[in-house]
Amino acid sequence: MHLSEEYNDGDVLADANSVKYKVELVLIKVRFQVGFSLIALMVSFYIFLSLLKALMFSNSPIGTYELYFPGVMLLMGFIFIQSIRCFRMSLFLYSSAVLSRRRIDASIDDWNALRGTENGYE
Amino acid sequence: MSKRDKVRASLKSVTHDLRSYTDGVIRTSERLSQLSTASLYGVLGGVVGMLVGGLIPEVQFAPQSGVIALLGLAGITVGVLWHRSGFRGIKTEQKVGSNRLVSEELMHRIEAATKANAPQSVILSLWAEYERLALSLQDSPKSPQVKIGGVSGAALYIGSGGSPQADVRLGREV
Repeated sequence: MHLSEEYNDGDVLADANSVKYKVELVLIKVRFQVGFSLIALMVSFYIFLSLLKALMFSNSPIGTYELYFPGVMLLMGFIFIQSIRCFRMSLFLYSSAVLSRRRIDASIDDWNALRGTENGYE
Repeated sequence: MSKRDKVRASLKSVTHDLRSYTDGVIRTSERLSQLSTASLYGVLGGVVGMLVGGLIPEVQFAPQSGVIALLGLAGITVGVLWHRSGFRGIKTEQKVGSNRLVSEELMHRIEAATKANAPQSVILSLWAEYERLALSLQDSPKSPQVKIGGVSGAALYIGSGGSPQADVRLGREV
């Protein structure tokens, strides 16, 4: 085997490992985003439900604060919808990053196995 | 092709694909981070709208809570629009969107002309049109045009696969 080919093989593997490292970093970032968006989704949903319950089953006469209830519910609805969007997008990014990592892992494993076999025969 | 070549080609292709794909994921992730800021602007706008609605004492045609909710909704909209770099940003987005559509159409035409073995002059004029469209996105006419070695983008693109004469001709025309 030529030296240049050996060098190129090393280059290919180094490139693949570099991309794998990048994918790992992306995965960490996206994992945090999934976590934060899930928390935001749960909290906004809980507050939205609490407000809805208070609005529907409240027997107190309409005062100053009750006037703001529909507006506050609107705001919470807006936050809830944004949380859903954020969670959906981050989940998609997370699953695609996991698939990317699996794919490059499989390719690197194949390559290492092949190189191992070749070195064993030599 | 031997098994070694196949595995090597597969590794190279996966590396190449994932490098660009990861860049796309990073961009989308950054856009996702901006979504929370947009929500914050929306909430702030909504709160301001509600407070303004609370200042209005009585309206004949609607209950006060409805007015507060409506002004809150308007505030959310204004806040989100404000976050998207003001109304000028919206116009820029629309401009970029329409420019992208037209440039895609032009690219299809260039591909069709190349496949149909159209005369070189036709392809060159299409490329010139494509370049003019790309440069039209720049706001200020004083801003410098990106040129590498005195040749602008479309000429470089042609030069990568076509004849070197095309570079020189288009470079001079532009």
